[in-house]
Amino acid sequence: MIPRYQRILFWVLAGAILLMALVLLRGCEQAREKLTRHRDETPLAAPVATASETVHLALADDTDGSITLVEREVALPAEATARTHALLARLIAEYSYKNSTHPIESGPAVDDVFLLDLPLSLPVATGAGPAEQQPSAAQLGAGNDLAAEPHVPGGQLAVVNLHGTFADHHPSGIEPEMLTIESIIGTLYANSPRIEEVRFLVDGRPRETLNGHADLMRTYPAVSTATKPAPEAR
Amino acid sequence: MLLAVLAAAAAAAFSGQVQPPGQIPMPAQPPSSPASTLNRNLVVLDPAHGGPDGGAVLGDHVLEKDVTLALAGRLRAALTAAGLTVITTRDADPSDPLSGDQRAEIANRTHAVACIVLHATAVGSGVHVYTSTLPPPSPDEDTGGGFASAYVPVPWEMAQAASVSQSQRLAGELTSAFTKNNLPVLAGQAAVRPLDNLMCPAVAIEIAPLLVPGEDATAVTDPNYQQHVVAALSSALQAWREHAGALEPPAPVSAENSNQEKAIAAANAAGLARSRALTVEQATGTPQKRPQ
Repeated sequence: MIPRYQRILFWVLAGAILLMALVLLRGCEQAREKLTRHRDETPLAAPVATASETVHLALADDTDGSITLVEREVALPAEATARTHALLARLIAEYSYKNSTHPIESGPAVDDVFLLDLPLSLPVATGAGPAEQQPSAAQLGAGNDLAAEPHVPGGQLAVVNLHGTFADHHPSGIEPEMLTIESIIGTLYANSPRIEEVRFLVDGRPRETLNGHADLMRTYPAVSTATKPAPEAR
Repeated sequence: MLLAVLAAAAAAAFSGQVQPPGQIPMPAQPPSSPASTLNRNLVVLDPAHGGPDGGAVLGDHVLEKDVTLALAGRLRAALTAAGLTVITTRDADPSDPLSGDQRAEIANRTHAVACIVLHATAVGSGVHVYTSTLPPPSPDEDTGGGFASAYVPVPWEMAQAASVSQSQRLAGELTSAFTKNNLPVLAGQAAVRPLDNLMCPAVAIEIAPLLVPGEDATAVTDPNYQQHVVAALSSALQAWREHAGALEPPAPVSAENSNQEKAIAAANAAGLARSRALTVEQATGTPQKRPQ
């Protein structure tokens, strides 16, 4: 014979379980509604297929301090800045491979690349009054902006913003640091003919050296840095 | 203020005065001799890094600053035994080391026959010999001895330009000496401070582990390896001292009017970020002036 108080306790507990189950179900429904309400149902952009193209990478070799221009098939974006960024990312990725001749720790190396037209200062019209020198907002909005003036294609300054972690973990020494700098410059020269000068930043700020040796305060001319002929095509 | 200090330091270089590091240089005195020559018996050694700047990590708890200091000590002993006077930019590991500009300032005061910047790395093999990336001055630039060319402003970042040719000759002799001593050597140019700021035949020497096929690598901390490098360096510098008798003092980069602008433009074209300039005297015994 089950005592009466035990039967009462059983039914109270069963009721509590049922109540908790109902509360839990209600909570789940509310959470689901909340997620559904904030869901972005904008369709994803259709992927754009980019054809691979041949680029030239100036690859460094620590054993003899040489730089060799090699060809690689890489799919690059069309926009110039993104293209340069992807190119340098591909270059640094080459150095993180197991059998690299210039080993660098893997990881993101280039944060941003900025391409600035040279000369950096805007031309100022001579003999014009102050009001004529400064284009008004109406002029800019009406399509008469500075960019609409006849533009003579000139050189560009490439500002390469490196990650601080990349610089801090880069092999230290004159040879490894200079080879990395020359590799980047040689790659930019080989693939971007408009780039005439290259500057380096680290985490968005000027830094004295890459990792204690190679000078990063100067503006490097974009020149060919290859010291060895390219190997035979494979 | 800094410009004034650096200008005075450079002027002191031509007047042959040497002051201890960290001391504010006195105003330049008129040189007693109109002809400036290299001090054939003096070599400046610059063990790179020091203090909180340890440089590269070479193996277990070995820092580049300690290796360069040890190497400088060995080289100093060898050169002193050969009758040369040696000035080092540091003899210990100070907590507040000199900056690159201050090291160059010390070297520039001495008019040494050779300035050797010592580095070490764990990458590569053998000895690496580097000179400045600055181009030598073109021969058509005015380096004459007239009154107008007596004042030669040299941008601080281009101080080495006048000595680049001598530096390359010195690097060539060092490279030959290393090769004769069966040391793998790699020669080139590098953008490394303070090479561009030195007004003497200047070379950066970087020692890397010695890799011989079929044998274990010899670390840069190996005393025998260091002594081997030092012996080659010492013999080459002694030979260089003998050749230095035929060397003319560095011809400063041209100064006057358009030439001055040309020099500054060349500095900018060479990517020299800092634009401060020094006025240094050509060896004509005339007082210095500063660029406006």
